[in-house]
Amino acid sequence: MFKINKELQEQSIVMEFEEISFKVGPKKILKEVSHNLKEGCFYSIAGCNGSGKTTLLQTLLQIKKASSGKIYLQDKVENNAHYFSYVPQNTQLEFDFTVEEVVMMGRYPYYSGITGPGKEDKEKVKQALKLTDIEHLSKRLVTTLSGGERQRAIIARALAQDTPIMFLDEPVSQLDIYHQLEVLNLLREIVDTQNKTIVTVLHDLNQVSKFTDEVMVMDNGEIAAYGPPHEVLSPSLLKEIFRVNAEWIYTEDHKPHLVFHYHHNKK
Amino acid sequence: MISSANYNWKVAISLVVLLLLSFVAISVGPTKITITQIWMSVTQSQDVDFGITQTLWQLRLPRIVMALLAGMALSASGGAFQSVFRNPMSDPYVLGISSGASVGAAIAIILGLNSQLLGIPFFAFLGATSALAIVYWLAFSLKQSEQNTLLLAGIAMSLMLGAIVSLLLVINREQMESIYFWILGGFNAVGWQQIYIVGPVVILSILLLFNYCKDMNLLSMGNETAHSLGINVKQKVAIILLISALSVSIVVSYSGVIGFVGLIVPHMVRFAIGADNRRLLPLAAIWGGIFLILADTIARTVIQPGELPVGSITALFGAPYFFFILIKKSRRHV
Repeated sequence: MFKINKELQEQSIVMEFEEISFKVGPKKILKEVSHNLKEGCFYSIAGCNGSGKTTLLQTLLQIKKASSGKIYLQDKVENNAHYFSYVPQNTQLEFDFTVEEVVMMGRYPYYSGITGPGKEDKEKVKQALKLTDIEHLSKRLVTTLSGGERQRAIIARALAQDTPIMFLDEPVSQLDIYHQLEVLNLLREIVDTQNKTIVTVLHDLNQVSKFTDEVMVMDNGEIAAYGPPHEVLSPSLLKEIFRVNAEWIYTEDHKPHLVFHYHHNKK
Repeated sequence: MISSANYNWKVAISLVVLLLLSFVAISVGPTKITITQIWMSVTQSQDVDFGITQTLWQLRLPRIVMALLAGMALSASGGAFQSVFRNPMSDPYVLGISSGASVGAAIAIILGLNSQLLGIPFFAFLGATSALAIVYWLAFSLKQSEQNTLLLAGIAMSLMLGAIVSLLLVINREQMESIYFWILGGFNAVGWQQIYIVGPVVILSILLLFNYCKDMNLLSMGNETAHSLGINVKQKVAIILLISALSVSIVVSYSGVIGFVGLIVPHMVRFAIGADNRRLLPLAAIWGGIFLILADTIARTVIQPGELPVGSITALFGAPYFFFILIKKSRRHV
């Protein structure tokens, strides 16, 4: 269970985790990971496949129970679903729910089965549909949507949940480039305008640097480095952890951009 | 959103269909009973032929009520199983829960408990929950993407449990007749006494299941999503499955194993009104009743004066439908 630390509030920290480990048998997937998440900050988690990114998210959400370590929140939460929302890597959509019904599920933690959704719930759903640009699909069955449309419906569901912290696991990996940028812009906007905290796993390091405030680079179950992306993602770190040669170049509008050169680098 | 005028109409129409079908089911059979006679036997029973009153009240009506209850229980649990396992092809029959109940019931018969009213149901419930425990364990051990493996495991378990029943049958020859009679399934031996037991259990468990419809919606989106929306996944799944097992085992105890109802009916109803379990489950329960009353009426009239087991009628509809869903599902995943 989560522990309470009232001092976090003064430091605008929405969550702090301390020496979180997660073991499967003798194998340590997470090795004493510690960090804190600040209010109004957009975090990305980057790292190679199997470095523990998803496990970290799921342990923080308590979907997986940490073998050891502590997670602190500012205050007691009645229902975790009022505090975190989650967009998993794969959401199963086997059944013929409409888009609107799926997004409304984000409001389930807020109303009882007897009363049904209230005015606020309906309003939040409408807003989430609008923000993700799927209003026109609201009556469509999710099973008939394209991959990108589905993903936006799932993100809309998490938005409708309206929680201080949002965790997203590779939210844009199934989207075309236009919708990737659209979703990331949207997340950036939410952080900036609503002061929420977003933590997302991203593979594209240029997106990491362009959109997020801080990156946690995971390697072999540990946070190998963290901080502003432009500082953290140095050519030497990228070579060591991602096994690529890379350099920062500056575009015409003076924005930093990573360029990769592939060499056969064995770890 | 949950109950719209449109939905209420569909429920009303379904209830009318159920009522009309019940009248037809009462009137057809070796003894024809007219609507007037049904009316008369309610209002002035002394003027109606005794044989007809007896056929109506002691043979046909309990049979129809039992078919209704069984259909309701199997369809509602089928819908629940499908959401919980996120697989439109799962139901208590396919996953071996019904077979588990039948092994339990067969053991009860061998132990000579069939004279006691609650002997068979108790053992059937034990059998069903044991099968369920295995399914539950598998469901949480397998990766979410491997839910089809769960179906295969369920089918393998059904086959194994079926073999155990056959084995019990062979080594207990003296009871072969009563076990075999019961395996064939059906509602031919049903009287009011059984309905007084089955009725409350089925109605109670269906009402309890309705209570978990919101949770089932979330569980159908995957365990991680359900968890992040505040659901205690393992606990909720266990409760929903236990309630289903209770209603399935009481039905199996008195009418044998009747397959495919829980598979076909929720699937068809979902097609008509969408996937929200708050609307799906109540309507699936009604149509489950309609389906089984229809199947039972066909079973007892098609080769008069003989009877077919009702399970063979549902399987005749059900197995092709299973293939249909299988093909539809695989096309969707291309």
